[in-house]
Amino acid sequence: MDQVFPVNDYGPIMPGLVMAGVAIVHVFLAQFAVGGGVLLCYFQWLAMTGRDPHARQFVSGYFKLLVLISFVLGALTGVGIWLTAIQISPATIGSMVDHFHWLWATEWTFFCLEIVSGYSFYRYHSRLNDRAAMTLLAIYAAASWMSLFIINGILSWQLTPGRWLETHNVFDGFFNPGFWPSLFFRTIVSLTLAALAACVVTNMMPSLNRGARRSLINRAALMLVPMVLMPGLGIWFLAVMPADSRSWVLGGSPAMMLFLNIAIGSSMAIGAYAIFGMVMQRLYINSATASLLLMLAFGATAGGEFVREGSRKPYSIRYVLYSNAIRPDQVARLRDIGCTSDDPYGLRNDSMYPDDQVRLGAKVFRRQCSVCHTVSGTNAVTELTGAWDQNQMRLNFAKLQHTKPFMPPFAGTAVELESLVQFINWSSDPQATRPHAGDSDPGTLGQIEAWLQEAGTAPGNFEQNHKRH
Amino acid sequence: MDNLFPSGLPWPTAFYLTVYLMTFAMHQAFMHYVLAGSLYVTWVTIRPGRETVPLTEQPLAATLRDWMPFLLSAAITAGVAPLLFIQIVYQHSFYTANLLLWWRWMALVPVLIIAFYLLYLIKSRTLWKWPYFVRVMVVAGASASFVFTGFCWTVNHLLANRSEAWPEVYVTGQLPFSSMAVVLRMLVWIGGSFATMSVIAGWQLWYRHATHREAIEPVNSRPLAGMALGGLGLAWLAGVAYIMQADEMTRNMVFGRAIFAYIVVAVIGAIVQVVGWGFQWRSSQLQTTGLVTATTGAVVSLSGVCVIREGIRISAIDLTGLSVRHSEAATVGGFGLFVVAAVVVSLLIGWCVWLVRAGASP
Ligand code: HEC
Ligand code: HEM
Repeated sequence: MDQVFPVNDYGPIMPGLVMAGVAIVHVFLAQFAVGGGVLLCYFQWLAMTGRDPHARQFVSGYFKLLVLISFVLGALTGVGIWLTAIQISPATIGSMVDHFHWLWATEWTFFCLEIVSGYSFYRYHSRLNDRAAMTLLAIYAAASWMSLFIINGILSWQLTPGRWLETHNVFDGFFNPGFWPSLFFRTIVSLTLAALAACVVTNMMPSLNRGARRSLINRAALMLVPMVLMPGLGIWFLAVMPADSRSWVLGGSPAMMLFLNIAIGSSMAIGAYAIFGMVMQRLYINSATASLLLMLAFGATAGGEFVREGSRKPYSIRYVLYSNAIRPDQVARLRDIGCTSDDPYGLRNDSMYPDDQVRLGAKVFRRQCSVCHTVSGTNAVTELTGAWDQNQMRLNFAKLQHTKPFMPPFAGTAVELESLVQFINWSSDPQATRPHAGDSDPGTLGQIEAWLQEAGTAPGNFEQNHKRH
Repeated sequence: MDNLFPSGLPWPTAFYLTVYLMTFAMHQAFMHYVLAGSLYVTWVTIRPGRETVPLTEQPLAATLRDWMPFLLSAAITAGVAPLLFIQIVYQHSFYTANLLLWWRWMALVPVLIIAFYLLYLIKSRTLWKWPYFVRVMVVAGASASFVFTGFCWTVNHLLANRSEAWPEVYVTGQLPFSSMAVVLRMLVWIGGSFATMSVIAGWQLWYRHATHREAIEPVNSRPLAGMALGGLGLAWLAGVAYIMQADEMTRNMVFGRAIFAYIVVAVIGAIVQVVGWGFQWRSSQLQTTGLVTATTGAVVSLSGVCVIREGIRISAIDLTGLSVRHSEAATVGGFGLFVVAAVVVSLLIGWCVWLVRAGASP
């Protein structure tokens, strides 16, 4: 997609954070719904076979919650995440739609099945015989898991496209190296969330005595047992991850590592409590503890989604598209023609800027940097460059992909680069007099040109370039 | 485009457009139920003043209140499919309109979440024990949210068709069309929604009576017929006015070879609906013949109107430029999988319905 899109300014928040925020909420709710379907089948079976006298009442109460949360919030945050993805990177979503629309259309058929089977159960289960009710639940559970199955293929492709890069075959992309570990992982997370929610719900059912609650909770806790597989799956996932992404999350990027640690730490806390306390010692858990565990699970989801979003850098689709919507094969050309020449959009508050050079710099920043940086909020360029003089900025921007390999190469002319430096200078200190205000000096431009040549147009990490060929 | 739509277009373009239109029409039908339904419930909540009328005396409102949450789910889910296909067909114009409207556009998500919960509240018994003022606020709030959501889609649609104005809109934030265009367009779908809602709700009331599950009086069909005919009239007036105020290119397209036949289709559909509802009005009870006629008319005219709406857009957006991308999109695999899934899912949906009807406890 070569069109240049208008870019909105999120003030102090970087667009990636907005995306991650919506994604976390949606993923959490959607996985709860998937696990909920399975859990309900299990409890319906307990009820049908007379194994637990209170299971029936539980099923009815839990399903109401599922409908109110997942059918409303789950569905609409799903629409929300799509619309947010368009806001953050239309090029990314456009490319994904181009390649995978039939998979998405397939997922959509399962959404339809989910709402019909779910609503049928919700409305009529009290009138239905056990077999019919169980069948509806099973259809519902299968449909929601299928939607996870499909979306998991598309999302894992973004990070590990695997053989798809050579074949462009949809199913090579779908069954990519990350597909199975993340499918198993997400399925287990779903079961975990559903079981923890079950503990909260059980505690909220006023008509049950403590013994009845304990028995339901102990049953639900069985769904937590698969958590023992999580470390293994995590290692599997790390193993199929591209080497550079793996090194970001394992220490290369402090922020990524922090999020990974949050995810691992919270999961371990839940897992340990679940296995030792709830399964082995059959402990009772009250709603406060259950809610706390659920909050920890939210933290784990948040950490996991941040890592997923962050570890793709500098790409939004690996090897295909950089996060700033520039394709790797466009960089060389943009070095010639400039990244602002085909941008039809002017600046909002144009009169705020002191001169045309700074205006140009603002446009360069908007096109190339603003998806990951703000001017003076989170991950602010003015702060990151605070200790650099102008020449260091020129050098480090020209060699952007080597400065930090999770940034794409600079994709513009020397004049644009210089204007970006001046824009950042002016943003850091609007009062300061700038040496080359308004015009650029040929010597400086020549130096920038030389640095750009040295940097090359390929992405930062040598090993990774090597692997592509 | 000189041939009848969509045959004048390259096949991938025609194919994706057709899939888009089919799913879009489905979205509209469900959405109409919720929109007109909530407006009707608002009216019958405000009108009697502080007294609450028992549900048994207002079967239409009772049915709507009961079913609107499900149909909102259906409308949203059905909306996902055209949301997918519009991105293939129109790509950057859809994206750019989204981006230019930005938070004004994104507002529709939280608004719909609130409206959804309001529908559950309206369905519950709780609300109807609350004071008059609160009841009115809740039902009016839900209706206003749906009107607002539709308004967002209309504005987004109109903006997407005006690429020459985008840079200006980006800088100034001012939208490049008259509020007259927006209002007329909205009146088309608001009016039309009453026609569709009357058909769906008509069948629901008919079914309730026909199955004798509840010993109820036959429903007076005149309010339904009145709403359907009134809505239809409004939609047509607004539609004609919309086309009259549009630019010449639009009118040439609409009255040209490619689209004109669909105007005829839409008119025939409308006439059939008028006949069906006229029959219901006279018999003042819901009859199968009347309902079948009205339904046929509604399906026919909704299909016609959807194509006319597309014709108006095509006159503004250059499809030949996009058709290269459509051909590329048509080369990716997965269509077979989708067809298989669609068949299996349809069968399973049928099974769910069968289970509900056959699986009642003895
Ligand atoms: C793909 C996302 C991405 C893009 C695009 C991007 N950056 Fe970065 N950049 C980062 C990340 C992540 C960091 C690390 C921040 C940290 O270490 O706290 C970073 C760090 C930096 C630093 C500090 C480097 C250091 O060694 O301390 C500077 C300066 C910088 N970026 C400038 C830019 C400029 C200028 C652009 C646009 C030409 C840009 N970045 C584009 C993600 C990006
Ligand atoms: C009750 C809530 C909703 C209402 C009242 C509503 C109403 C509308 C209306 C009136 C239009 C036509 C606009 C025009 O042509 O002027 C429309 C189009 C559309 N709607 Fe909805 N909508 C709702 C929810 C949704 C949701 C949640 C989605 C997405 C999942 C969606 C997807 C679409 C799509 C893709 C189009 C086509 C846009 C175009 O062709 O430009 N709608 N909607």
